[in-house]
Amino acid sequence: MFFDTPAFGFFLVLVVFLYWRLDRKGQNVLLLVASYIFYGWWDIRFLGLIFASTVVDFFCARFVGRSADPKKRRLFLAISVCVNLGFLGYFKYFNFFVDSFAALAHTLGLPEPAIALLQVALPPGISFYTFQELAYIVDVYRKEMEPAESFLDYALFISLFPHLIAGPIQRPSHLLPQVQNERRFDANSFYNGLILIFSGLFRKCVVADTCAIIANKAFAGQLGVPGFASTLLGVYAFAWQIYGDFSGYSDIARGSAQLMGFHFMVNFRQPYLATSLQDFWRRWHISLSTWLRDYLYIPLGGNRKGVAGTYRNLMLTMLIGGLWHGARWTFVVWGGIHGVGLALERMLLRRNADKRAGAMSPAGLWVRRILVFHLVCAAWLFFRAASFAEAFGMIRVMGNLTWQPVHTYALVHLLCFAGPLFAMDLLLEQTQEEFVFEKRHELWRAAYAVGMMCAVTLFAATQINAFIYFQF
Amino acid sequence: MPSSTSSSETRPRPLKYIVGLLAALLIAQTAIQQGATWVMRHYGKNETRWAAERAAANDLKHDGKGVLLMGSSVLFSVDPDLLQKKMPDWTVRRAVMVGTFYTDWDYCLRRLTREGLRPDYVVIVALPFQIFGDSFRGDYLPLHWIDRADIHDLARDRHLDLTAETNLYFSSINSFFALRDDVRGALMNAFIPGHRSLIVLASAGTRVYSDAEIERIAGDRLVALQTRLAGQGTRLVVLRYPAPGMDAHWAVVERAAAARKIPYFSAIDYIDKKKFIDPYHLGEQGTQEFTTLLAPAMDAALRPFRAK
Repeated sequence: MFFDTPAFGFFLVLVVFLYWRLDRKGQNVLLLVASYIFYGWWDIRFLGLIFASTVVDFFCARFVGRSADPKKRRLFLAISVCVNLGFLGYFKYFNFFVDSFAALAHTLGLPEPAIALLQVALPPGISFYTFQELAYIVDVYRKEMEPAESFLDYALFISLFPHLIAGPIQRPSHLLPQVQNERRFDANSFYNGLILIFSGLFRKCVVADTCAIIANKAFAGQLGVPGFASTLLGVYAFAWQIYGDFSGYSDIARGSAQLMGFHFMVNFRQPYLATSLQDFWRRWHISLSTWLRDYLYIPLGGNRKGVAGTYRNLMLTMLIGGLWHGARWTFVVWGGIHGVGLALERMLLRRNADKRAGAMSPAGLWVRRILVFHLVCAAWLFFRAASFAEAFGMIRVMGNLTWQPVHTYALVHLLCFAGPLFAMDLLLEQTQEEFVFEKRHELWRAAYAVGMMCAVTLFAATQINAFIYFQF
Repeated sequence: MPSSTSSSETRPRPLKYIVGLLAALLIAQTAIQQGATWVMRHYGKNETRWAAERAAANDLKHDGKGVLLMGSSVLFSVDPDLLQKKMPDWTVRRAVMVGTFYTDWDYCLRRLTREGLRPDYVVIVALPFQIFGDSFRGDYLPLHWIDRADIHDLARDRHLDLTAETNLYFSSINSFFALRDDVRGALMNAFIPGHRSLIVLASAGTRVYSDAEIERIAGDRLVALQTRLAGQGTRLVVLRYPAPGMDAHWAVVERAAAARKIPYFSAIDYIDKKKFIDPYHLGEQGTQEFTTLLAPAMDAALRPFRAK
């Protein structure tokens, strides 16, 4: 069930309506059933997978939490990690590794392995809930939290529908206690949740889905004559598409959660106003970047292993982060570009990178913002391209400087649809609010929500464009 | 009134604000939906035209001379009044379904025949990729062209997921939802330069079909449609529409039709590109010329069946 469909609207209204009429246990049962319906809406067979994975983690964590024997603790941690990564690897990466191994064998002149590729659909959101499960078992192993006593609570923590498909990836220490304790109706939170939902719908349905039209055509080589203009417009359009899409999803997820008394972490903070790549990763997909930091970069040694070790850990983290997004080498390259960029930035600009944006001159600030935005766009080119051939093909044609009327139309569309999101970001950067008018009077916020809803009603691109991060 | 110091975290907000916000959202949503639907119904060219064409098509009864031209927007390149004038022995009606494919015509014919439409001949006028392509009109379909009872069959035929199927059901009960693409298109065309051009560009097909695929898909579809229409005493006929650059595809569709004994005819194989206003649609002069050529060709194609 997609967030931007009437079915979800009715589903959410019904769930919220029933939810506040029940006690905590009833609420949790209702939410678990609703979350499984939400997930099964794609394909009922996927329910077995998430349920199996939940059962394994729940019991492994209990054994890890109760056992004093380090060997047993490690064993159950390993079982849980292997099961989780096994499911992820089987459904998401099996074909990728078989293909890659066959290509390598072919290059080396060796016989190609006779392994049949899988014909299975990727379960939606498997990367997200796997990371959440890994965080849980690791936290229990590290004794940073107690294992959940109730299977119902734990199953709900994993499957709570607002975050199930595309995050934000919730930390066990943040969400699990909310599931385990009573939620009280908070009118403030409810009111702001409604506004976040409409703000998110605007980002997704109006901004992202319109930019998608341009990006899709440019990457298919159909935005006029392929050249500098089509590549640049295509990459710009994709940059705003993926930002609108994912930040919109996160807003709707957070807003929906707030209607039921939950709080989810903020996932985006004006990423295209970042003044360095490090700053970008503090603003983009924050729940993933902090997860990678805490469960990968720091356990690898972080910056405690000397200069070379730090760069190695940085690269490994970004490469794995790239691969997490999808089973394609272009995603790995995307991660690699960010890894190299972060390492170079650390090496060359360390002092300046730490310089606070407020201390820079406006011109310097904008130069850095524009530079970082274009570095990020260069990486998006590989992220969006279906293959290296497509990515390098788009780069190769950039010598052709032809500008056609269709490029003007595409530029006008971009300005009309990405422009408002950019303006909103500038405003949010100034006010440090989570959404426009957050700290203003209720009437301002109501006007904002109504405006967003009107824009969504009239300007939403209608073809179903699945949220990009659903596939991850 | 606006206060930059009032923090949402510290100041409790009474329930009345939530009720007020929900009411404002509901009122605005209802006003937009009702207003836009009313405007589209009364002033939208497609809506008013379809209503008129649908009413006119109701005249067709089995009398051996009723012809319904049905297809996509390329059917605008046929002038129905001129065609009727040039074919006095026939009762000719036109049903233009803008932006449609085989699936749309199939389900629309199911609905219309169920509602009593009885043409003797249905002549499909479209581009070849609209016959074998896997697209369809989406959420607009339930507004006029598909029975709610057929939506589940459509979802099964087109392998739609539950989300897309639910949207179709919602379209069947909410006219605005079905029309929203047209509403958006009208607004964008009015306010954003080049929108129409960009959308035409964006809607160009992307999937490439092999000849074998085209022959199989087109053949199977034409047979299915013919069988369904034959149950109502109606014969299916396919017209080759002379859009430039379609010759190879038409050749395959013609082969598929011939192998399955589906009548297929051409009024003219080639019309000068200059007479088209875009890649597919003829301008005023081209329409007159094509219609003039179509009349005798269609008469010749249909008359043998009439004699039987």
